[in-house]
Amino acid sequence: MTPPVVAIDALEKSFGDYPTKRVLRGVNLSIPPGTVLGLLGQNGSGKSTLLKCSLGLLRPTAGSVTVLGDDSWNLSAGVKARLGYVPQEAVTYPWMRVRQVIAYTAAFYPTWNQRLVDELCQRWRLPLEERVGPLSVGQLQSLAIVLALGHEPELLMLDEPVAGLDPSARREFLRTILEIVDNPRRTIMFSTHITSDLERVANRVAILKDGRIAYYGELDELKDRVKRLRIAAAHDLPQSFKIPGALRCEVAGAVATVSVNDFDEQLADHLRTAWSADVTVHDLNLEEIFVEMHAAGSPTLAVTR
Amino acid sequence: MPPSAGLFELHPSSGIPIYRQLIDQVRALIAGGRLVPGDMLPSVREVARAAEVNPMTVSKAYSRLEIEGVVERVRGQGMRILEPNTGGPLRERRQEFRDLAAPAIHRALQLGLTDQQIHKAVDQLLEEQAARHSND
Amino acid sequence: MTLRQLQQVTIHHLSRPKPWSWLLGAVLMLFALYSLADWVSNPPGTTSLTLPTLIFPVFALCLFPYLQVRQHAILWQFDNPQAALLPGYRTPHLLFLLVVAVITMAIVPCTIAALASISPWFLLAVCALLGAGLLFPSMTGLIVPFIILFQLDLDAAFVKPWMLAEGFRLPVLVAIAAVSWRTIGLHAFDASSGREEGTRLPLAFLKRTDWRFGKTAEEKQLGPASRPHWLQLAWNSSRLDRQISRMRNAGVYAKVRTGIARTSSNAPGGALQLVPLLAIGVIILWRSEESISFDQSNWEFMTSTLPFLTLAAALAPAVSLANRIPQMAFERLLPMTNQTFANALIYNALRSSIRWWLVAHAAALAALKFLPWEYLEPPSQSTMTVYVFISLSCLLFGNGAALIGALTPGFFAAFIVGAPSVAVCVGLPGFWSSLNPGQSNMGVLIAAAFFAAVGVSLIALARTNWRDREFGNR
Repeated sequence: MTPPVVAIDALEKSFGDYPTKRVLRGVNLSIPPGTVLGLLGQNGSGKSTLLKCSLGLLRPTAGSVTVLGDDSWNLSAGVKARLGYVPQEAVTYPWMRVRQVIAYTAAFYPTWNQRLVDELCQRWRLPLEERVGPLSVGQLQSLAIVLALGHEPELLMLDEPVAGLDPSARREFLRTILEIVDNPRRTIMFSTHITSDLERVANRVAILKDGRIAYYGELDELKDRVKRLRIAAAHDLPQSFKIPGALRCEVAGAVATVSVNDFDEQLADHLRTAWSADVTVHDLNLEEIFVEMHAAGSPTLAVTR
Repeated sequence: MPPSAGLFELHPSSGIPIYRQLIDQVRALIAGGRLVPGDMLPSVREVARAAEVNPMTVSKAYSRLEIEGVVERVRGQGMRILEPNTGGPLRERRQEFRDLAAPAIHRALQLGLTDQQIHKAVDQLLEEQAARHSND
Repeated sequence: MTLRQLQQVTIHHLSRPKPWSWLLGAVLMLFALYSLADWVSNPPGTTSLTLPTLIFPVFALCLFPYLQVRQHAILWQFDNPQAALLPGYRTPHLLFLLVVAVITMAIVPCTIAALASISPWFLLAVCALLGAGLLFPSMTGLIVPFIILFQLDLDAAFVKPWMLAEGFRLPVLVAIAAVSWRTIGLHAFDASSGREEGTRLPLAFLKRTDWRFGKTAEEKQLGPASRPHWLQLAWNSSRLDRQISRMRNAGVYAKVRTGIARTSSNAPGGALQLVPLLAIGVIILWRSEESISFDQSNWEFMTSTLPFLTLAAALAPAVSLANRIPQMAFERLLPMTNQTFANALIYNALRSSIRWWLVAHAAALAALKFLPWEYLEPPSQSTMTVYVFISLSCLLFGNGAALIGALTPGFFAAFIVGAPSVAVCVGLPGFWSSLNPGQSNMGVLIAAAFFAAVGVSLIALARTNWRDREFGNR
């Protein structure tokens, strides 16, 4: 078993002295090589904080993060050379020309794939001779991505990378990401709000909720597990009708709509016989699952291995 | 001519996992005669690129198909469609068919068809299938 | 670190066109000013390169470039998460910073000292101490070193003869330079640890950077402006806020974010910061100018120290106004006319400005009262009247200029507005002080009236411009 690329152990992070705001309250994640991890969570749930802790930009309040074998707070130059990061707000040097910024960044990496960079610049139509300052948000984002990819990092962390991109640029970006993950040694962690992107690219998903990981595992497994059941019984269902572990349960007369997080056929069979009901199973896509999980009062899913 | 990667129509934002969509579509294409034993599936990379999905998802689907005996891995060439699996105890195979047919019959009754009409429809389907095979 | 990295880092720093041209312009202008002042104040043929007069050009030549590069390196490199992730980014930038520091704060002062054929130690110590002093989060960091060094050098009455002996001065100057250089070095290393938080060295009281891009993770999580700029403390926008809260209470604008009301209620806190400065200014004058007649000393105080208070009182509200621009895009959509909104802004700025002026002068009076001034005569009533007239004229002019300048935030606007404001607020009392006692004040009063009139029309202009200002493009 290869060691994980990123190992997050009981990570806690608080801000402010008084009152303290606990953003991360014990996060555990172990990300094996070759993973494309999509990080989901509501605004302010700590996605950026988690990524920044993993990059050693923020110091963990408790717990630890190990990245490519190094403690994240003390990354060696060697590990940094294997890392790529695209921040939420791309900040590059506005007075420099695009070409100069690329040359500047390239000087620091022992390996730099100029051919790849040239190709990406061409593909994204980055104006090499223009100054960075007047570039559009999307172009800046593209430049930040090019700079993060130039040294072909083993581990790429992207903090809402597509937020500033228009739909076609977003597609272009996703295509690039897919080309990168063609190499099974590459690992990608990215946070996003756009679940459809995540569904295309990610093979694993971690959902942050209330400072903890509410789900971490295969995206396919999540979709297999979380289903919405429509139960049409022969008689009115009692208001107390409940299914253990349900994310959400709505009863209206003889019909109940229940979202369950641990679906299997036996459950459906059991419901059919117990309530002599017609049970239909609806698949939920990631966006629907996310909404169900954040419905008021929904329990936290068990974290899978 | 090898089947093109555009053979599959994948919907990443559907509630059905992508790998499962792929498995279902391969099975459906075989059932519909568009893929016949000996055909090669498009490569993982081709499918991933055409559908813009993670290649790992595609290879996961292919591995499942291999385990289920639908395809076999040919070194350096890819995945080849196998002869339909006619092995295994008859009882199991019959049960599998019953599971598939039960919802269809249930639906047919809901549509108000009589037993006789359902029998007739099934016979017709069998004849069509036989005709298609003899054409090949 | 490779040569290529060093080359790229140099390009990175030198490719900034604006700051370097500004730097060149500023240095040339200050040199010109200095030479002019030197030429005017000294009869031709005499050399005038005394230590105190050298401070100004040395400061311009030495500290400004260093501060520019340091600020730039911290802002764009050491305090920039993206930069911090470049492997080995730190060493070449630190080296570049060190080279600039050595050139500007060691080589240039030594050259000047050699040209003026004086001992280099005083200039070295001044530069290093100021370089280190500017790291402190408050102006006290600048004032204290100035006092120490000037006390060591000025022939003030309180300086004991042994203090002026070379055997005492030299070791002290060397020690000051050494400690300052060490502080500067430690700060540079600490600042370059490149994290959003955490300080490895016992230098937590030093500011890492004056200004940074985007919000830190902490600010994002804890909400807006956890730590206001000290100038902001002066800006009391209570009228505007009251108007907003009244509307909110009336239910007209129920969904206004509560954050809009976030302004400081502790305006005196800002003024309080001035008190130590004042006390220090008073002490300096008291100590060093005992030879001047007491009334003269009072007058000197009014024409040299207090004008800076007036200047600060004139500029501070406008600075806060400029800081408020991002919120204004939202505030101007509140249900009130643009004219009402602009009026509220201008009214608030003026009121806040006058309040500052009063608080600062009250503090000055208190300092005069509580320090041992028993042998100082209070200034005559007519002197006081002239002072108040001049000072309020300057306040009006400074306010007008600053309110216009705040419309377009940026270094250039600050410079354009700052220069005439400084010229008027400091120059007019300076003109006054140049008159012989007993001479007519008529010229000064006419000039003050003129500047007051200009100030009022500038304020009127500012009002229409704030009303018509575009928001949302910044």
